[in-house]
This record gives sequence, structure tokens and C-alpha cells, in this order.
Amino acid sequence: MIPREFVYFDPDSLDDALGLLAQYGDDAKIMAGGQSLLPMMKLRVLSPPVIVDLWRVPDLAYVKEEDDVICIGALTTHYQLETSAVIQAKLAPLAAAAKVVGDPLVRNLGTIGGSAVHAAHNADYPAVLVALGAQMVLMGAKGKRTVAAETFFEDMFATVIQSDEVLTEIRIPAERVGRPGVYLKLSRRGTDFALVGVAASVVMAANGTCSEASIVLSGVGSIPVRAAGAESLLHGQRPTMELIAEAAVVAARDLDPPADVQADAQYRRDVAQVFVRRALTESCPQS
Amino acid sequence: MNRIIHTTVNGRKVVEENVEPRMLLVHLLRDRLGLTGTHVGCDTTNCGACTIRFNGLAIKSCTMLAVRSEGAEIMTIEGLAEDDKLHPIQQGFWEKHGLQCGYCTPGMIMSALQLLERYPEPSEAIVRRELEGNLCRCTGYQNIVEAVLWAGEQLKSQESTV
Amino acid sequence: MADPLIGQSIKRREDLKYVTGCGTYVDDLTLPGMLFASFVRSPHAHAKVLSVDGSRVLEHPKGIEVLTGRDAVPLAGPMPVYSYREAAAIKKPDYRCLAHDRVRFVGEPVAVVAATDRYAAEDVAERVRVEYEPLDPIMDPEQSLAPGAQKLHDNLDNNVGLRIEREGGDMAAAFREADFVFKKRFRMHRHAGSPIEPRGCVAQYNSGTKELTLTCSTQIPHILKTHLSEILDFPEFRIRVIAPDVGGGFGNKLQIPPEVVALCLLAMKARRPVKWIETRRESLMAFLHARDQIHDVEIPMKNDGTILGVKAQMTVDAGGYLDARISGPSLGAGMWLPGPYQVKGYAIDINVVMTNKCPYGAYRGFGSQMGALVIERSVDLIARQLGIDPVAMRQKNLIKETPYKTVTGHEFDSGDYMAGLDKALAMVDYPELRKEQARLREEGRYLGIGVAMAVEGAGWNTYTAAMAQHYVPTLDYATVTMRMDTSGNVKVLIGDVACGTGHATTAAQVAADATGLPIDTIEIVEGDTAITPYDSGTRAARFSAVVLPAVALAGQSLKEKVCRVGAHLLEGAEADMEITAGKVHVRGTPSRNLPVSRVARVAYSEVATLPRDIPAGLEATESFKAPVSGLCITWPYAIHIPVVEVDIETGMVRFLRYAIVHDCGNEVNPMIVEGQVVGGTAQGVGGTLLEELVYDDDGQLLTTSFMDYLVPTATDIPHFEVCHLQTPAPQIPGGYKGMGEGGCVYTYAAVANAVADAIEPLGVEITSTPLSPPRLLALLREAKGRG
Repeated sequence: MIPREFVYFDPDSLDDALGLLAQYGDDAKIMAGGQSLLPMMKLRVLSPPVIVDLWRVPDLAYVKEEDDVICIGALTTHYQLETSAVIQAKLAPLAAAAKVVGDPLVRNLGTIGGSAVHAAHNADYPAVLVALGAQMVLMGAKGKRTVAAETFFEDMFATVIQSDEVLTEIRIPAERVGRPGVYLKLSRRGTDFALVGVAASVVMAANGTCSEASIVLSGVGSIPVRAAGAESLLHGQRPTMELIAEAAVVAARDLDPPADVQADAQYRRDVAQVFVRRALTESCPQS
Repeated sequence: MNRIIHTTVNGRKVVEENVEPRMLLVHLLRDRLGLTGTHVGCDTTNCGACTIRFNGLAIKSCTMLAVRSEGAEIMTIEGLAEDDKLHPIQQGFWEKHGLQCGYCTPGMIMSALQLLERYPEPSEAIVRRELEGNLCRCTGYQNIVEAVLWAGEQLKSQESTV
Repeated sequence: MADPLIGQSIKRREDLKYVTGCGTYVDDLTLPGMLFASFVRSPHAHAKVLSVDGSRVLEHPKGIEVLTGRDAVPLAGPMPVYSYREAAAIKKPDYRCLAHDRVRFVGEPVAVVAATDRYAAEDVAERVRVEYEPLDPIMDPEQSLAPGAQKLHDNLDNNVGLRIEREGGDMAAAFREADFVFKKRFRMHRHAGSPIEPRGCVAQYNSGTKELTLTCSTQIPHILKTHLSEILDFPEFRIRVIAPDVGGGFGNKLQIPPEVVALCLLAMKARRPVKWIETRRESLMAFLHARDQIHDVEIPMKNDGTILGVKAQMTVDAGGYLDARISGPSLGAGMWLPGPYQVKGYAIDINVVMTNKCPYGAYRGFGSQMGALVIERSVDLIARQLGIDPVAMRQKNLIKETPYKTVTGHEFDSGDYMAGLDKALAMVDYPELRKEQARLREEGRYLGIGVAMAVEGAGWNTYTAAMAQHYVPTLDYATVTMRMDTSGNVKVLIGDVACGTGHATTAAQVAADATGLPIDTIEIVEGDTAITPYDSGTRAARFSAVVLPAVALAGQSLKEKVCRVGAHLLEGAEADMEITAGKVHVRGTPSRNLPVSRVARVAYSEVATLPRDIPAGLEATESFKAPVSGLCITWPYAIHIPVVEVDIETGMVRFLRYAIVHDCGNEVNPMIVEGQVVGGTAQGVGGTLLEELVYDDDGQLLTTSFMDYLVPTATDIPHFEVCHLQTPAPQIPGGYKGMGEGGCVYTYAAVANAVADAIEPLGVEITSTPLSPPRLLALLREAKGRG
């Protein structure tokens, strides 16, 4: 299992990378950590004529805080995220997700940007990024634009990113930073891709009601699925066991999950309900 | 265009000419450098038989382009023992019958090396979790876990005597 | 006498090379001018091959050779099939190394190319153009049996590739005496051994010596040689097969791979060595699949829980062709149906059915796990129906004394099955567990306790008189040569292959004890047909029961020869000589001694000083012929008790404990034995819960990588507690029984019983595998729907 031949560039600046993308257009594919791309190339299900490998591009792996916004460089690896004190302390669902992406060896090379752009429907980060209201910073030859994670994912393996653009940074807005939250996922084996994943974050008001809830699922649609009905059900209410159970029912009710060899659609729908309930229960200790 | 790669493997400088960009690192190690202790067991980054140490990290060498090893520090299973003195992890796999057919063993050991660096006193659960990227079909993992725990003890007592 | 090494858990002598990366597997071999092969495989489950055009291969600068199915037809005969008594009657499907007129499963090879490196080989293979005319595939064995189904092989009467019927005891009486008949359908799903090292081979042909040399990841170098000789019509004595280090076999590498036949042809055509290393994708598509069986059983019962007999109509989904060993797992499953119980009769009727799937072959356990699943699941289901404890029902029906002649024609040699069961129950504190289960049930937690046991055959024997027209290896003997060199060191030559099984250690322990030589002076050599005696290979757990006794015999024989020379040199009587710690001495007078190295020097270089009747050199070859009872040589047994918790909301199964009591007779190296037991059980856990080869209705395999074919990771496998009983095998010198397949035989039944025990109170009935979360949840949903 060996990739087909390709033309290879490993520019040492972002500008050069953008120049190559502008030059080669759809023929070019960016390689970040390579942990999803290379297996597909080895299986020859994907054979890009041109690879623009970002490994030499400096300063794209970082976690930093700018005015309470958390900025994550696109080439930050899962392991770097998993062990980042900032992420652990302030972005609980993201820290939880980083721990269960692939396996420890894959986590050493795979990057959050690569995973986001790959946009597998059963990947862990996309749901978390949507739940956290992340902003995706895209650089192109024509300049920079920022897209909300909510609109970034278009379809299975498809995002709004243009062929001449690079995802350089993911920004978590200040109001989301420091909120409690969880990411729970179910895999049949080890920490494989999610059959169902749930990123949940609940903010409680002083009076014990829920002032804001964010519930986003992975693995149950072609892109991350926000459980908007469940969120609004919780809003302004005391998150009792009964309410949480009802929210879980609402969250799962309208799902149209994919079926594959690991699980049928019905299974995913059933387990989505269970996992939304469990995620909310974990997020609301007073329930 | 094919490249010349300069890298350091098991402490020795390596200059390898005519490397196709699509060449996988595992094939550079095995087919060019004759380091056949690193194995290949799958196509999809699951089995970990190809695990090596790359700039201090345990990685799957079947899922990295060889051209990326330019300037890198690489260690394979062949570089782990010092002269004839086995590393405690190697010793542990031997003592605890942590291998049968031996095919996954080099990858398993290179993975365990990172494991014990990150978790010097791991629980059984941590050992199992941190070895999730390495598949073994023979042992049922039980003695691999024993081997790693044993090696952890050895490394700890080595440290305390230094 | 020094303390015997037999029985000691000494560290494995072969491990240094493995932990340092110095093992040599087939892909580690590079030869001058070596080419790499890549196979062109069918994307269709069923199609006519209209044309294969390889002309563009040679246009590639690195493309060297191409061989198509049609090229191969005149060069290689059909692949072999063994089939026990029914051999004479069998009409064989036309199974060739490369398909030439019709393809019958996705992944079937239709052509092979050779290029100068492994990268180019894959590029070049894409240049072969194959025109197919797709045909409707048959993916369901029962549909394949239906009247009017299209025939998958024109030369067969229908899609039954093989029919096997067996009966024993008095089944009519069993039915006559029955108060009721338990009837049930059981199914085990398709999965595979998937050793982490896939198949691979390097073929070399020397046109000057007319010799063909194969370095191949195989468990059976000698048998492979014999079959290649037949298939290629090539003199057997000019074929050499070398099995280097083998990265896991599990019975899968008993295959005579069609790809290896094609590789030989390619090497002869190219006049250069050719290497083929299978990819995982190829391995999952085209290496042997296993296990896939349906049993419709009838069990005549007494109301008091007495099992009177077992009758089964069995369907084995053989795939597109018959692998050589197809009848083994079919018959094995059937003959294991009576389990460890005293029954009056059994009757089985097996249809081995052709479908458009990968051929079905051997995998650790060889069908016995299906037999165990069916009988052990049935016992639990019947016990529930009768309202008795499943353990009590087992105790009532167990064979109480050995040796015991079974209705299947075997004689269970030794063991105390009741005591084994008691021991296992004590390990988990069964009564207390039942209380705990009831307590947890009140909290809405579903604990399950599974008990399963079996007597497993080790060292199968396949020979019957009707087979004389075919070559069939028999497994009931082994020949071992021991050769002492001029320094007094010994090589033990064995025609087997270790594939993780620790032969280099256990055989050396036996050889050291037999000869009195230090173990450090003994090396085991296996796997090369040019230097080892003929042997049927590493299979059927025969090494301990058949090969080790031969090692002991050869060791005694060599020792006698050393003593004879020693007696001459020490001027003593030969009968008074003893060897201890590498010295020949007069028994009782250790001071009158000579180092064995001195004896060896004399035997090789001072031959003239020896009396005429003492031959030169020190070498001994001995054979051991094992007694065979029915199909097998020895009868190890085990009891497995897993304790699981089922999450009824997700269908996930979590192990709380897993207790094993096993008895494989005397153990040469308990550490290695335990490693095999644990490893086999883990493989069974994967098979029961995770691994499944799934085809869609069009015959496409959906599980073509380890992303989808779920080989378990360390977190998916529990810790196993193992208790060893050692009841010596009465018929085998040393008292050893085979054991390598063991763990895998019991797991399916034990885990299925545990899961069932957890959730059957909710109205679910478990009669098939895999016990995947989606399946369990679907069963729970259905049960809930029924109310």
C-alpha cells in the first residue's frame, strides 16, 4: 500500500505555501500531520497530483491567550492540546476530545487543523469546535477571513475552505472560555472514530437554572449536529433528571444518522439519546 | 523530484540519496538502511508494528513521508540497547513473556518507551490505554502489560540508585 | 541428575532477537536482482473474465513481468482439497492459482506483475486491464442451496461443495426416550485470524540446478513443498521451502496459498527472485476467512435435565472455492457438538456450500468453538427453560470418568472434568457472584456469569484409507534429528515452524533433560525443508503431544551414542554411563568423567581409535508415532467463567473478571502454556465481540482494513486469571497434551453465556455471534417491543 506518485513541495513559509496553492489550485492538497491523508493516499482512494506539506512552516503550533480569546495554531497536535495547561483549565470539552482522537501515536502527529479540514463526520473535534463557537481563521493569497465553525463544515469531508486557502488558527471566543463542559464518545474498539460523540456545555445561572446550553453531536450526521431543540428546552429551566432525559429524547428524535458496517442508523440514534443524557448529567452536577 | 535526505538514525548520521517524495519513512528505514526490526502490519495506521521514535516522539513510520525526516533524530528498535545491555523495557518483555511471534514487539517496545517517559508509574489501565495504537494478536496483551509495569519498576529503581 | 528443566518456566531462548529487532521475517529478506510482485484482483464478487491485457506492464520502465490466469492454466494444476472419507466421491471446484475464466469472490487474483521495487509493483499492477462481465453473486449459503440457484461451478451438480454425514451411538434411542426435543438455530459469523504479519513469500528459481527455493511465511514448509510439487508437476526433491520467523499463524498459514503458486511461476518466468508481501487489504479480502456456520440442532432431553443426544443440520459457508482443509472445521464443529457430556448418540449432516465470498479455512480451534458454542449455549437455554441452574445441569451430564469412549468415536484420555468445573466455580466464588448479580439487578445493572467447558482434541489426524488417491499429511508422527558437532554442541532439527509458540525453548528443555546436556549447548533448528526431517507442520496443537516425544526419543538415542563412545574412552561398561551437566561419567562415580566435547572430538576426528562397531559421528534420528483415538491424539480440556456487565443502553460489554481452569497434561514450560491460553482466549474475545467480515449484497467486502475489521486493542481485552491442572496424558511419553488452540475453543461459548446470563431475563435470546453492541441493542429493542 503505497501512494501514487505526486509532486511534492514543503515550503518554509506560509506565503510560499499560499503561492503554491494559488498556482496549483484543485490539484494541490495540503498535508498537515498526515494521519488521515496518508492512509487514504496509501489505499489509493485519494491521489492528489501535488502535495503541499506544511511541516516546515514555522509558528503554526501553539496555544495562546489573547484578551481572553484562546488561539490555537492549526498545526497544534492532539498531544500538545491534550497536555496544554490552558486547554485543560479552560476548554474542558476540547481537552477531553484531544485525549480520545486516534491513539497515542497518531496523537503525536495528527493536528487539530488537519482534522478540522479533513471534516470526517465521525471525527471528534468538529462537534467540539461547533459547541465552543470556534472561529476558523483562513488565510488565502487574497487575504484572511474568519468563518464560524458552525458554518465551516459543509458536508462529509467538505468545508467552506477554498483550494487556495489554509486554515491557520482556531479561535475560541472569550465568552466560551472557562465554561464547564464534557466530550463523551462511544467507540466499539479503543478510541476509534466515534459511533456517537457528544460535546456538551451548560452554564448555570445563580438561581440554579440553565442560562445557556450547547449540545453538539458527532457521528450522527454528515457534519456536526447541534441539538438546538434540546438546548432551548433546557434554557431558563432547572436541569432536573427528568428535563435532561426529555432533552435527550428531543436531541435524538430528529437525527438522521448514517449507517455503516460498525452500526446501523437506529443504533446511533438510540445511543445519541443515551449519550446526550449522560453528557448533560455530567455537565450539570446539581441534577 | 527525488531528494537527498540527511538524518540521524540510532545516533549515526545518514545521507540517503534519490528518495522519492512518496517513499514512506518505514521503507527508508527497512529497504534503504536495512533496519528491518521495524515492521509493517497494516495499511491504515492501526497496528503500530512500525512504531519508531522520531524527534523524541513515538510515531507510526508507515504514516510519515521519508522526506520529512530531513534533519530529524530517529531511533528504531535496533538503537535501543546500549551495546549489549538491553533496555529495561526489552528486558521486561523477555522476563515477563511479553511476546510470542515477535512481530508487533519492536513497535510495542518503542511505544512503551514513550509511555514510561510520560507515565513513570503507570497503572495497568494507563498501560493498556497508552498501548492502544499497537495491536498484538498473540499475547492477549496481558504479559505485555506485565512487562511494561516491570520495566517501570526497574527504571524507577535505576533512577533512585543514580 | 541435575534438576529437570521440564516443568520449569524458563525464559524463552528465542526472545533476544525479537526484543532487539533482529528477528528475520520474510519481508526482511533481500536478494540480488529481486523483483516485487503485486496481484491484480477482482473487484467483482462474481463475473466472467473476458480478457486480461498485461501489455502495458512492460511499457513501464520498471515493469518486468506479467502472468495472467490463462498463462497459468497449462503451468499449474488445481489447488488441493482434503476431504476425509468422502474424498473419493468429491467433485472439486476448479480452483486455480489465478482465475482464468470466472472470478468468484472480491479479491480473487486474476494476474500478477513483477517490477523492480515495491512501489513500482503497485503502479504497474494498475496498468493491467481486465474486462469482466459481471454475474449475479450468491451471498447467502441458504440461497445457494435453494433449488434452481445458479451454479457457481459448472462441474458440480449443485452448489454443495462437500457433503459430510456422520452418526454415532444410538440417536434413535435418544429421541425415543426423550421427554422433549430442544430445537434451535445457531449461527457463528465470519471472521479471520489476521496475524499481524500478513502472508508473504520470496520465490527463487535456479535454472542451472533446476531448483526452486521459497522463503515463505508458513506453518507447513514440508507440506507446502509436497503440494507445490504436485501442483507444478515439479520434482519434490528440487523444491526447498524455508519458513523464517513467522509473525503469527493461528492455522491461517496452513493454507497452500494460490498466490504462492503464482509467485513460483513468476520467478521461473522472470528468472529472477520475486518477493510478494501481502497488504492488509489483500489479507482481509483474500486470505482465508473462517468460522461462518449455521447449525440447526435438535437435542432430545429428559425433563430432569438429562441430555440424550445431539443432532445437527449444518451449513458451512465455504466461499468461492474449497480450501484444502475445508472439511476440518466443518467436521470439527459437528464432532464437538456432544461436548463433555454423556450422551447416547449424535448425528450430523453437513453441507459445505459455495458462495461468492473468500474461501474458508483453518483458524485456531478448527471448528470446535462452534461445537462448543452450540452445546454450551443450548445447555444454558435448556436449563433456563427447565428452571435449573446451568451449572447443576452441567454437573448432571458431565462425563464422570476417563478414559471415556464418546459417541463420536473418540476416547477422551484423562482428566477430571467435574473437579475442573468445581475449581473454576471456586475461583469466582460462584454462589456469592449469583447473590451479587441479584443485588446489582435491583440497581438496574446487568451482570452476567458465563460458564462454558469442553474437551478439546489436540493433534488431529486426517488420514483415512479412502484418501490414498490424494496426498494428505498425517499429523500423528514426528521425526527429529539431533546432531552433535565436534565441540559437543547439539542442533535439534525439527520440520515444524514456531510462529510465536516457543518451540526453541520447550524443545530445548526436553532435549536437555533427555540428553543430560546443558541447555546452552542445544539449539533448535526449524522450518527449512532442506535440513529438517519431514513433518506435517505446526498445527492442531500437536507439538507437545507428538513432536516433543520425538525430541525425547532422539535425545535418548543421541545420549546412548555419546555414552557408547564415552564408555570406550573411560573404559567402563556402556550401560553404566551417564551424562550430567555436559560430562560423561560412570554412574555413581562422577569423578570418572570426560567432557562431552572430548567425546565429540573423538567421535569425529579420532575415529580410528574407536572399535569398529562404533560408527563415526554423533547423530540420532528418531520418530514418534502417537496413538490416535478417533480424530485426535490427546484430549485437553478447560472451563471458562467470564463475568461481564452489559450496558443495556449501549450494548457495550465490559468484563469484570475472566477465570480459566485448563488441563493440558504435564506442562513443559508453564509460562509459555499460560501465554498460549491467555492469547487464544483474547483472540476469542475479539472474535465474539468485535471482529466481523461483512459483505454487502453485491458481494463487496466492507471490512477491508483494521479500521473496520476490529482486531482488539489492549483496552478491549480483560485480565485473565488462569489455573493450571495437570493430568498426564496416559498415552504420550512425558504426559503432554497439545494446547495451543485452547483458549479460543471456549471463549465464544463462555462470553455468549455470560452476555446471555446478563440480559436474557429481559426477554432476549442469544443464539448467534457477534455480540456487537448494535446487535445486542437490536435484540433488547425487539424484546421490549414484544413486551
